Amino acid sequence: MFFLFKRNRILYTNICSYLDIVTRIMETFKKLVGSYLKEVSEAKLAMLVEQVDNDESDADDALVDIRKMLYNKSMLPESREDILVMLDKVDDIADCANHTAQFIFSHGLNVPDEFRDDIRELLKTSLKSFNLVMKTVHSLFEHSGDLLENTRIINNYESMCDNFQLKLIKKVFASNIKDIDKILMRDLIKWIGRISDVCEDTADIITLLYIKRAI
Amino acid sequence: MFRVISGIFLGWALGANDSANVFGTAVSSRMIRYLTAVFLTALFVVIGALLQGHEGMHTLGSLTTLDLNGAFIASMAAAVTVTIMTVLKLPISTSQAVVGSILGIGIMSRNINLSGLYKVLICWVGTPIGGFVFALIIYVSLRFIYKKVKPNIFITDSLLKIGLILAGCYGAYALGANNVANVTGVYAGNLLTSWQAVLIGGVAIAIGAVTYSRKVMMTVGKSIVKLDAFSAFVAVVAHSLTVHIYALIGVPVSTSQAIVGAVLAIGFVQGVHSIQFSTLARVLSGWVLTPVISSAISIVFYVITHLQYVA
Repeated sequence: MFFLFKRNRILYTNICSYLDIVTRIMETFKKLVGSYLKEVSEAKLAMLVEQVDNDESDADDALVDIRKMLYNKSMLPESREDILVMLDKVDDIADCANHTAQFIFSHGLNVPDEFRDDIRELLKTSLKSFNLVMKTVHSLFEHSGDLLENTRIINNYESMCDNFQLKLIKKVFASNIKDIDKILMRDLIKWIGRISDVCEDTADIITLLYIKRAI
Repeated sequence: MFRVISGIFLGWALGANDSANVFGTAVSSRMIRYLTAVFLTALFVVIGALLQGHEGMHTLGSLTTLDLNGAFIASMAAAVTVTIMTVLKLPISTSQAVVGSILGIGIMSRNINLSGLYKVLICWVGTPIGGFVFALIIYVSLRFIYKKVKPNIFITDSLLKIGLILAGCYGAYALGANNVANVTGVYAGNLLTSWQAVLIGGVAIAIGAVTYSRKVMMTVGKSIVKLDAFSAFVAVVAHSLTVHIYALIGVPVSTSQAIVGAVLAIGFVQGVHSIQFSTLARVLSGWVLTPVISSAISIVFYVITHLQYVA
């Protein structure tokens, strides 16, 4: 019967590895957007896009393994379902980063100088939100840290990102850049801003799981 | 010897119904396979009956002195009562049905030991209260420890999973120890020795668990899973402790009443709003009706089998 402890310990190790892969994706994504705004060579950009894509693929494989382990009677059924819902949301964050990377690379948009700092700011807030989500996931597993305070801050980041996105899109459409670039800029802003939206969704799920498991 | 068949039938019905109280949660949520659960139930029911089932036999025997016909009528009346109450979807207690039918025969034959009856009645009232108190103590104590230790989610789940299986085994043991007297208690001392009675009764309950418990197990389990796993564990342990203590005292009591008391305690701790009072009223009405109906049926059976003397 005590093999259950071993099985769940392996599962936890696998989940931590999965979360590490997602963190790596977001770090590469940060580098990618930074390089893109600095107008580095297309080869370097392509390399970073490929790295995000490969890591995202690794994350998908890791998630499939975790799913198999969970359905192989690891954990109580209610925990199994809750953990899967949460990890699927975390996976959405990685997907979002990958899509944005593909968008940047495939559309060849040249971000005008006047918007570069704004994009950096938007990315910075979205990534702050992501880092806090990772911390909160571990808090949920380990019953450590102030989980509810973290989720409150994540919600604040999301509101900040939403307001900032709105202002930025207005600024884009008020500028003198080409119409097609305005639309592409709007899409880029929305993709980056979407990361904080998904982070907020993940935080909401974590809050529910926390309340549900409270004894 | 054929008269024991009504007792075996009653044991089979009891095993089919009451084993759901001990492993329902674990099976319906696929924490343990159905076959493993019924094997463990059968094994521990028989062990419980053999090791600690004798006391209840003495109590039931002390209520009245039954001849073989009386024993046959008592078991059959109890079995019919259980069936009627099940069809009416009212919560049933095999113990109450058996005691009610024995009393019915005792009334007709003017042979009732009221001191034994008081002991039984007090224990019936004490069963849900026992389940309630144990659940309250276990819930609050474990919650305190949990909040102090704060084990991670993966260790908590492993502990709960193992705990539910061990609690199920203990519940099956308590079921066998306490309820075997309901099944063959009426034959102990006349047709069977005490050892034969506990063995036949234990095996009959085990057969009921193995052959026909899946549906009830899934139904009870799913309704218990609406609690969380922690609460389900507390309910099964509290119910098992209560039933086991009554086995030691020597009074057969209802496992359903014990688990209802335990679940009510959990509802009480989590907030009174979670208790469904209409369901509670149905449960209470079942507890009052069961001994009354089984007494009436046993009286009817008694009259039918004694009609020859009227003429």
